[in-house]
Amino acid sequence: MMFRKSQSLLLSLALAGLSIGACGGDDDDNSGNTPDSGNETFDAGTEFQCDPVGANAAQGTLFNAPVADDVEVIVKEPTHPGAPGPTDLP
Amino acid sequence: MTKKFGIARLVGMAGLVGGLSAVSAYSFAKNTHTVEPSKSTSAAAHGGGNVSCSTLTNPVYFPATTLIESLLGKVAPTLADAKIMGDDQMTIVHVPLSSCITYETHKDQVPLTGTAVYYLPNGTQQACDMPVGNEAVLSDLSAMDVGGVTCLGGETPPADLTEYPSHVETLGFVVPRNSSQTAITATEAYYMLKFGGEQGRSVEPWTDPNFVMVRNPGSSTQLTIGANVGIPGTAWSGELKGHAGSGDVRDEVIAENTTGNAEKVIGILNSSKWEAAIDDMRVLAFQPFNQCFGAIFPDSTATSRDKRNVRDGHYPIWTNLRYIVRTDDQGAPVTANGAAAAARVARFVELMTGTAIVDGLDVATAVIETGNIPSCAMHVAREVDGGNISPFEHPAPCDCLFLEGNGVASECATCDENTPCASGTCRAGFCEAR
Repeated sequence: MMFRKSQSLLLSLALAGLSIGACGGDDDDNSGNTPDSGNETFDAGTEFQCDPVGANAAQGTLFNAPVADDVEVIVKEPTHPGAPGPTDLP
Repeated sequence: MTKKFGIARLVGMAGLVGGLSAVSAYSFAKNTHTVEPSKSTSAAAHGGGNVSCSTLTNPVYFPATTLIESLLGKVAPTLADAKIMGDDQMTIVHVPLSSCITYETHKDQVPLTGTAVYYLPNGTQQACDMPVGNEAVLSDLSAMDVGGVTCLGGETPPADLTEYPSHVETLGFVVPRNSSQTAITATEAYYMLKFGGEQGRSVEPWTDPNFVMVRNPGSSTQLTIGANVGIPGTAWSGELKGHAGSGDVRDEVIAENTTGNAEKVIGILNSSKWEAAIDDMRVLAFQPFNQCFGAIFPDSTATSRDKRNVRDGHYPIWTNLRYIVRTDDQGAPVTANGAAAAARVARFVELMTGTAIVDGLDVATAVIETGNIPSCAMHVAREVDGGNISPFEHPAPCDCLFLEGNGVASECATCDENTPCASGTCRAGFCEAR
């Protein structure tokens, strides 16, 4: 299914919540991403939960930077076995 | 079962024979690259009735990635046109190979054999045969889409091989137009490419490895995608369906539109190829590792052409084209084909990387028209293949030109000598931000 950003915000937040468990938990270095950063994912309280590698904070910031309203985002139900990567993949 | 393949072995296979026709003599039916000499790998196959490449005017012997084919089709005719190029006229003799094979061929100065491609000034593509025996020639330079360090498995490249980074090429996963799939996650790709449909480790609907169209372990497309999904391109499942060139992947993916198998099919490709076949295939949105909100396309939408998500760092599957030149202690190009050939190499690289300009040859626009991104339109960069992306500001940005060249309204003011910009800098007819 396809969603515009505005349409998928709730789903994104839900996904981000799921990602807390999915991405692991090394959140020692949140690299300055704080609530009210303007990034809904971070503001949902997940901070760098989706980037467990603290050393890659800049990368995580770019990946998770807010996208404009006209950017098409697809929230997909994954079809792979096991937990999402990048850690603990077989 | 996962199989690993060494680049050296690939070069041993393809480098010895070289050339388009020779490489295609090997079987890429699977990603295993088993040597299956064709019935026509004799000298006769190299003397297929084409002109000898050595008879062309000012030849530049250029083993290079197949991903550069579209761009060469736009610039090589101009380079061959004496009316435009004057004394710099040159004939680019392209030997299309996978990236790391071109690298090894140039690094080790393996004689070029087989059939190459060149262009006449009127844009007509022609084929020529590499001379053989005592007449055999060596490469002047090469081009590939990964760094030498990647091809060498992490070893430091030779000091006399200089890499000149150029435009950005976007890569991705594609499906036939008749597939209903719209997205793939990095984890899904990891399972699919590592395990090749192995029971219990498959990913719906791409469970049959015979319909997972990949390249080979020397391909920059495969290496770059591998670096972004956690499984190196040299370690993908041998059960996947390998291909010699990106055109082969495109053709086979398209062919599955009418076989009833479209839903099972997925391939890896570059944007210039999929955008030229947009009626027959689609690129999938991709969700990288550590990206939290969903999958996104290289462009802002499935149908736009702005590469916005590549240019701003949201979409990570891209690579720089690199020209590989042998240089002396002073950094000047050298080639086994003499000083005049070295001068042509220097000029060719200057023009292709934008450090020199010739009236009548618009490389930046050609880059845009072939679905690629000039570095002046990028806002992120990376130093290592598949490595971290970091913010980047080009000293002479060309965002307006890039967007307008892709048919996207840039909202930039136009300018010329008589109409200066109210703000920003007039560049290529547009008021760029800086």
